[in-house]
Amino acid sequence: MKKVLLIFTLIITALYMGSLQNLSARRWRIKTKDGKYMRLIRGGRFLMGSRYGKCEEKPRHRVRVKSFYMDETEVTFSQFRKFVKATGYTAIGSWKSAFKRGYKNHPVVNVTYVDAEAYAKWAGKRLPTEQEWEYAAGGPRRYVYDYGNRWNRRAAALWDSRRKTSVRVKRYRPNGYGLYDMTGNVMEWTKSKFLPYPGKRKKCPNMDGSFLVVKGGCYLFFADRSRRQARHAVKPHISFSAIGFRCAKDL
Amino acid sequence: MRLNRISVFPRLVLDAQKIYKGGIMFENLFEGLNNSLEKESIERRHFLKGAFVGGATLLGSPFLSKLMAKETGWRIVDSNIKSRVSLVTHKSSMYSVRRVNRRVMRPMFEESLKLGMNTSSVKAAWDKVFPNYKAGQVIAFKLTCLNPHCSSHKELVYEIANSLIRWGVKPNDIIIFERSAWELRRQRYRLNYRKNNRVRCFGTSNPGYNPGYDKSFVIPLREGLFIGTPHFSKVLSKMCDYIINVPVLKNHSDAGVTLALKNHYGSFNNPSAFHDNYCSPYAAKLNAHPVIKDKTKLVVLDALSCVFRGGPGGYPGMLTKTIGVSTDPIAIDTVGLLWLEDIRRKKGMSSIMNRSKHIAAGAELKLGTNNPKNINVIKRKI
Repeated sequence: MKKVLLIFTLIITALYMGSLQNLSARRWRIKTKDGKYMRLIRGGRFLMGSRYGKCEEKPRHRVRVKSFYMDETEVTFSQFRKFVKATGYTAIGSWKSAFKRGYKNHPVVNVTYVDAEAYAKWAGKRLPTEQEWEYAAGGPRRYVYDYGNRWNRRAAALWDSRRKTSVRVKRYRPNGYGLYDMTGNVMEWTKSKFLPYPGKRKKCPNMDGSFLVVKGGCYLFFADRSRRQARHAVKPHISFSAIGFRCAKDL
Repeated sequence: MRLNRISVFPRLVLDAQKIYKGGIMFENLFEGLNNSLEKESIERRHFLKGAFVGGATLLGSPFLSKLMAKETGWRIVDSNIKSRVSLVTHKSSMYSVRRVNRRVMRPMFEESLKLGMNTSSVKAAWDKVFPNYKAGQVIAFKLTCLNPHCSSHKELVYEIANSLIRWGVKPNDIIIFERSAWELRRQRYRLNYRKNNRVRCFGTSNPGYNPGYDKSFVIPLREGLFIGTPHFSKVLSKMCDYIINVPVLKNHSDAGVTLALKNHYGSFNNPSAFHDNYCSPYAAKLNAHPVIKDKTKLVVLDALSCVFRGGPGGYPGMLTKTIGVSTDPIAIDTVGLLWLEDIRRKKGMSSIMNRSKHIAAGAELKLGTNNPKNINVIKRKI
């Protein structure tokens, strides 16, 4: 019996070490076709949602996420313009109207979900799921904001920090995974549908499956709506001056 | 560059003479209102631009309106609505930014009300404002107390309440409200949410008494986009039957001006999420919602002092010592906008007309008229 147990333990340890070795063989930071850097986010389990938040954020539940890469920053105007020039893509959203002088390093906004998907496909990536986004936003310590659990108005571009417009990417410090502007600047498209979390009994508005989840805070929000758990429902064909995106990639 | 463009075309040179005349009219519109504005030499460029604006609007020429729209980004919406705005000035109504002469508030307001409603007595004016008023119906005053230096002055607000009480409204049927109680307390309003013989005064969110926001419906400001879902204050949607809007004369870094339309940004939650695109068309859509549109019966513009720089949180740069009254929020916003534009022009500051898109959006929704030709501005000094 002891031998069997020992062998079983050895097999489990070997498998675990093997997976770690496999992961560590991966590069922690890669450069992709669109010239953006991506960070490796190691997979794991975390508590998604909030116990005390708004209706759509409840209940808090455990979720497992596989390892993936995520863009360090949101896609900028210059990067989106590069994509449009390269492919001749006609965007549905009026991103050009939001592109002002000096904004080339600001996150691209006024793009629909379809536009974001098209960009991601061109760059050999995809949009993150809601789970991945929330997992990455808290950093390894699962903070509420990029920088901790307490609101700091100097640490992100939000309404509280008296930002009236978006700011250039990398203006503020990154979170524990090295991702910038997860708490503020502009909100970001995810590919998940706006549906109730598992175990949800009470009905919340807009959960008919026609909306997509947009995550993150923006320069129009107070800190409360910029927590990593906050969810916003947006129709896929809508573009807005405070919604941009960043991409993810499988290992 | 713009002047050169005007002088290049002979037709425009011809029109420039009209514009000059219009400019004089424009000057006259606000003559005497800018009491503390020292006589200063007006930069030629600014004068011509302002004259151009005033001339184009007041002459009402479609060609000039188009040209003006191109110059300033301001759009005049054609409509048949005729509006009346009264502006009553009293030179000793304000001693300083913080000191108001309460004794003259009631005569000033009542004079303005009579002129605005085109009646000979205050009673007749109130009868005209609230033709269907029944005892027990509640009238709410929407103030603005965001800026501690330039809020709706309590001396004026209480005198409006007194005037209503004299007309026959029970004091407890009057609600003075703002977003939060602390803002009202900061401006020294006397909080009262009890059923007694006093005017009620509280915020939508109070520490002890919390009416909160009406989550039974969402204000449809954006379609297909549910970020920062807006809900009306319960004071507006459930507790009151009529609204008197009491904005102050302030410029706004996003919306150009924050007057009657923009004042209702304090009537719902998550207002910050609706500040993109110069608050347009959200401010207009908000005011077009039946909760506000059907209940708002009067707009009283508190222009005792004004913030023309650094708004909405800036310090009042001028004592304008005026009270304005109208039933048309768009007309009073237009007059306020032109007034602030005039002050800023004289101070050599940039134009705010291109940013005030929400006023034209409101005119498109038939909330009133932003065509100066259709606005009868009645000025009086007492």
